[in-house]
Amino acid sequence: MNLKNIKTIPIMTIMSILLVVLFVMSFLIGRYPLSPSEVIIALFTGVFHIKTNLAPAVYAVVWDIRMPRIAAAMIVGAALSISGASFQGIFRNPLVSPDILGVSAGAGFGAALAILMDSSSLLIQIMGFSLGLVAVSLTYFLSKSFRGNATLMMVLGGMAIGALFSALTSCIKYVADPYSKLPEIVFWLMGSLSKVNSQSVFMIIIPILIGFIVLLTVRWRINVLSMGDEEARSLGVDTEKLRILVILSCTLLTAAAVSVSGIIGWVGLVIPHIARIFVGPDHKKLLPFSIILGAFFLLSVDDICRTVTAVEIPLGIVTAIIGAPFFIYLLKRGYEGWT
Amino acid sequence: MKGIIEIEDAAFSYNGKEKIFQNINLSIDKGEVLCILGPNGTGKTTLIKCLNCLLRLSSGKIFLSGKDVYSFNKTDLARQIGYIPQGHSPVFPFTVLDVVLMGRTPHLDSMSSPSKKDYLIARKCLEKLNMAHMSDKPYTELSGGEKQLIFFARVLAQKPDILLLDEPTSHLDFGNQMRTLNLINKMAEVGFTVVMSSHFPDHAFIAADKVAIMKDCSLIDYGTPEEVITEKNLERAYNIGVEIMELDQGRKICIPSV
Repeated sequence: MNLKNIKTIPIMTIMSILLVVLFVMSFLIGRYPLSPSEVIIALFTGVFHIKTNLAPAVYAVVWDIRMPRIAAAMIVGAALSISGASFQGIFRNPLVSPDILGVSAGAGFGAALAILMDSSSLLIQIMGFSLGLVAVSLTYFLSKSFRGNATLMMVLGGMAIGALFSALTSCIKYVADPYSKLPEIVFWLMGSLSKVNSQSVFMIIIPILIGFIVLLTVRWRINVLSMGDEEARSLGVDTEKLRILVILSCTLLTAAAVSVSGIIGWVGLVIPHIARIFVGPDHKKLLPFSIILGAFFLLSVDDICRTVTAVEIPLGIVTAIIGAPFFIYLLKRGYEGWT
Repeated sequence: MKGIIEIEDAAFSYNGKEKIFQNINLSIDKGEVLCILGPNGTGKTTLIKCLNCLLRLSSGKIFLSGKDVYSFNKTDLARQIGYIPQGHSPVFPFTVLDVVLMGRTPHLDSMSSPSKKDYLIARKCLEKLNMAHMSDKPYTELSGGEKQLIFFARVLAQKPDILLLDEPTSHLDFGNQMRTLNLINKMAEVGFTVVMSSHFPDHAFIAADKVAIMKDCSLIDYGTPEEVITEKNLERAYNIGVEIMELDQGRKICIPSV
């Protein structure tokens, strides 16, 4: 075993333990006061369906109110982070974020359209998810029709499609009722978990699981692909297939995440970099660590959103307000995560 | 007997009109080192990339051990042919060991990561090139010569029969050029078939069994270095006067006239 491996295992363990602690602590936040022991008992007995003498209200608060939100924060943070790390790898560019191919812009348009048409929250979520997929497919097929460097064309195509969908979203904002619809659209676009319920979390479980499993399965091959197309091909990698597989998984993850949380920037860009500081660039370690770190980061940010002020601050704002200075601090300390 | 690589009537064009090269016929025997010489832009790199299917010939055929190169699947091809590109632009600072480990890709199941055995092979390949002490260093921090050795270690870990080297001595200092040529000779001794391109006819005298000279999209001569690297051929290829001298030990060198 080399030195890196020995170093990585404890940081993975430490981070996982911290995540579990934060997970339990997050149940303590909110208007209905719960004690740590109540939370732990409710969690365990709820999982194993054991009868206890806890008040039914405690179960309701833990499982129906706080659990969906806490789960959503962790899932969204993890999904955006692993997608960001994978995209930075396959596009060989540390400045890439998961919405580079237009998924967020597409999802934003879908959700805005659904809000404009007075749809249910379920339909808003479905529209966001599907338009996110549509945007990325458009980008992909558009880039196929260009000659030249495949990844560059894809990134440029993504910028164009993203701009197009953002403009369409602006159109909807322009025509939306400024007293009811417009604030709702704007709030959705800023990103928030305040409307999450167990149904919306269940909706995204399948795409999220598919994305995680595929990315974790091919994660070592992302290393090879990140050396460049020709080298990867000379090493026997079917670069085109692998790239599609990674893009598809990241898109499922990001679209699913955005469909419950709205647009949350910054996480997918920065968490992979912070993860690289701890575990290095090897995607075999980077992707699992990004999942844990992303979940931890977004859950802590969401906890702050829930507690600091009486009126909730949108999550997307707080991720940047907390994330940016922290990232600057890390850069100041000297960061050799990329060259 | 047919060679391990047979190139028949190969032609390549990016757009169907301008030929990059045409009428290329070559036969390379197992364990031979073929050096392709020729001025910039004659298609040396393109020809090398066609050999491992990074580019596809517009017409003609390439056979590996008698089998059409296009009938191989990607993994099988990578088990046969290793490739060291001319330039490499690094993005992520992988450790040296991680880079060498990538050579194991064609031997892995597409779902799996390298096993302990693959790590062991990668380490052995680094040891062979006296680079074991570098294992945990980021490869981005290595010098040009060290980086070249890492890529050689990676191709060793890949265990192919054929080695394609695109200008292996460019970007290297005087000493590292010779060390690379010696390494190529050693690899040929243990059975690798090597196809390389070069800008230095001298290097062909040192490391090649066969030389092919390309000029204006086609092959102008092919044979042993002594037969092919002549004053006349070099003048024709590079449009400069060249004098070929023989040193006392019998080695030949090329002196371009000023």
